[in-house]
Formats: sequence, structure tokens, C-alpha cells
Amino acid sequence: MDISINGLNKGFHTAGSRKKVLTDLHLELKNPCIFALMGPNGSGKTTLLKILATLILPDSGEVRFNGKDLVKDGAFIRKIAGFVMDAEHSFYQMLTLEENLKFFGGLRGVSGSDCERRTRELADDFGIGGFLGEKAAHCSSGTMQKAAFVRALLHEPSVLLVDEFEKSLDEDSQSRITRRLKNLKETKGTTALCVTHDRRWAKDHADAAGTIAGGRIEK
Amino acid sequence: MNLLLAFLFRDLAVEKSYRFNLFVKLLAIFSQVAIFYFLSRYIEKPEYFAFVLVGLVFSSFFQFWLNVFAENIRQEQFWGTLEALFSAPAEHVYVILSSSFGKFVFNIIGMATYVVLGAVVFGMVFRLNAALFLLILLLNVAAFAGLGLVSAGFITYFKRGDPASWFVALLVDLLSGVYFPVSVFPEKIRRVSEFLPTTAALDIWRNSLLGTGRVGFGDVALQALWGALLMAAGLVSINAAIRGVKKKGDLGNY
Repeated sequence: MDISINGLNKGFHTAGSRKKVLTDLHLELKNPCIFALMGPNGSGKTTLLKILATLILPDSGEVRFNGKDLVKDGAFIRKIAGFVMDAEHSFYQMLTLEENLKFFGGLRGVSGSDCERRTRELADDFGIGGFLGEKAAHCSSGTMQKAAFVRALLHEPSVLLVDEFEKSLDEDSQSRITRRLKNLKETKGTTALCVTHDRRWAKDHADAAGTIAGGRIEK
Repeated sequence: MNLLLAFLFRDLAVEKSYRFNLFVKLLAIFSQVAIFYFLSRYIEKPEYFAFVLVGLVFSSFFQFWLNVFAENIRQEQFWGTLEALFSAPAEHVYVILSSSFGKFVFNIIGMATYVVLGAVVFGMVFRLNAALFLLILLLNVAAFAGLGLVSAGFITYFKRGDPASWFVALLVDLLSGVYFPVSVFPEKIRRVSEFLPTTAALDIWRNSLLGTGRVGFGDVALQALWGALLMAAGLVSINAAIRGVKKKGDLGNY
């Protein structure tokens, strides 16, 4: 999946003034690739990801996924993309991980035995197979981050958007997930845009990397 | 269909976590039905029990649709799951409508509990016109859900309780003939009451469940028109609110 961002602008109203976060941002991602997005806190990484996830509307500019317009074809973008964001708080705390994943799988059209099989396979691969029966409220941050990866990959997306890739993950878990991302890129042609603060990870595993500064991406 | 089943499954799983809650709801319905049964015996008007029971079912149905979308959105904002829900590959408004499905099933069970208790435990006789009842139910879902979507739009954008919805619910309970016939009002209030579409809707409910009179084509057409207008207003409102919060960038904020 190719992603093309042209002249993207976004600002927010804060305390009576307007703060520009993204300014005339351009980015071209050719299928398949793993792109590492870096930058200091508050530089606009999450805002960019949320725009790509259709959760925030841009002020101006154009974003296309294989030619499809982000604003006009939001439902299509959500169908082909998977999101890993705010893992700890985006699950139902009173439900088990398995119940959560069954629900979110159902939302994305993956249900029944397909959902169970994929959940089991991904959970085992990421080392949380033994936690599926645990309520989300009782799971650690790392387990929830891995569950968020399982949720994002259940419907085999062509694009994966990951906020804070390494958040709460130990080295072994990072390796397992990186291996899976690379495998998806090679076998399914998945494009992954991963926000990270780990320059070494970006250097070792990403095909390209960029840093947001002054509202733009510098490669 | 996947979306509806997913929400039904989720709500069943959540209810399972709070089993006592279901018991309390059923107990509350039983107490309410029993109170009005004995009240009708005390005032020596047995027909009042049937009158008020249908009123209670109607009121429960109206309040359910008025509040369900706003409550769902508020709850998802509080839990932090709203953005995850809105990542579903469907139009957001469809996700919001589907999110009520599980609770709608519980609401139908609650309504059926009123009817079954009335008939089986307290000996009330129903003369059901099933076709008319299903038709008015459908038309009223459109109208009441439309109002509910307006309220949900308010919550989505302003993140605060809709100040009007409780007042609307109170007005309907007071003026539409839920607890007593509107004929007991002084003339000026009666005119207001008769102007409310919910008063006419409740009349049709009573006719279709108790066989208390005839329903004309005009009565049903009015409900259809009202349903279409309110649903259109609801859809415009919720779509505008979602677009507004996406512009502001605080969709998931509480």
C-alpha cells in the first residue's frame, strides 16, 4: 500500500491561540516498507498518526492510500489499516483479553473460528497466549501493548500505524514483534509506519526513517 | 451484521461481569408493576392497571432511545475506547447506531418483563394487534432514536450531559398520558399535551396492545412523518458533531 502525503497542515486551538502542529508536511511511502517516525514529545507524531487513522481531520492538504483520499474514503482506509495506539486504555477493562479481541475482531469483520485462530496464533507469537483469559484490568502495560498489536493485526491490514512502538516492551517482545512486521512486509506487502524514540531500532530495522521538526518530516 | 453481533456479544460479556445489576433491574420492574397493580385495586379502577402498564412500557422505550447513544458515547469516552471503536471500517454513525443493539435487546427483555408480569402474575388481559404494534414500534424507533442522536451529538461535541434530554423525558412522562389520561388536565395544558406526537403515539400503543379503539391512517402517517423528520435531524446532528470533534482533535477526550 502506497501512502502519499502532500502539503498537510494541522493546528489546534489552545488557550485562546492557535498552535500549528503540522506545517506543509510531505511524505511518500512506497509499498512495502517499514518507516520509523521520530521526534521530540509534542512534535506532532501522534497527530500525524491519528490523521492517517482518520481520527483527526486535517486543516488542509491531501493524504492518499493507493490513490484513495483519506477524507472521502475514511471507511475504506479504516478497513485496510491497523492501529496500535493508547494500548493500556483502549481495551474494556472488565473483559478478558480474549473477549476484547473477539469484540474488536468482530468490529473489523473477523469473527468465529477465524478470529479465534488468528488471536491464538498472534498471541502465542507475541508471548501473551497464557494471558488471554485474564481481565484487561489485571494485565501489565507490556501485555496490553502486545494485545494492541494482536488487535491491529487480526484483520491482516495492508497498512499498520503504530504509536510508540517500544512502549512497555522488553527486548524479547520488541524482537518478536519486529520479526512479525518484517515477515508481514515480505509476505503480504504490508506498509508499517512506526513512531519510535529508539534510534537504534530505526537504524537496524526500518527501511527509511524521518524526524518531525517544525511541523515537517526531515529524512 | 458482524457489527451488531460484536456489540451484542460485548454487552452480554459486560453484563456477565455485573450479574447483580440484571437482578436489580428485574426487581425494580417487578416492584413498579406491583405498586401500580395494588394502587389500581385501592382506587377500585382495575382498568387503570392496564392503562398505566402500557404507559410504563412506552416510557421505558422512549427513555431508552432518548439516552442510549449519548450514554454509550459518554461511557466509551470514560473507558478510553471511543477511538478504538471509531477505527472500525464502517461509517461512524453506523457504529454508533449498532452500539445500541445489545442494550436494545435488554430493553426489549425489560419491556417483555412488564407485559409478562402484568399478564401472568397480575392477570391483565391483552388484545394484541401485532401488525399495528410492530408498525408503531418501528416508526417510534425512528423518531425516538432520532432524538437520541441529537442528544448524542451534543455529548460528542461538548463532552457534557445534554441539558435538554432529562427535561424532554420528564415532559413526556407528565404530558403524554403515561400515568393518567390527558383528559384530566385543564384545557390549556390538554391542548399542549394533544399537540405532542408522543401523546398520539402512546394512544396507538394502547390501541394495539389493549384493543381500546380504532387507529386511522392519518394517525400512523403522522408518526411516520415525525419519525422521518427526527431521524433526519439526528443524523445531521451526529455527523456534524463527529466532524466537529475530528476537526478539534479531541474525539476520545473525556
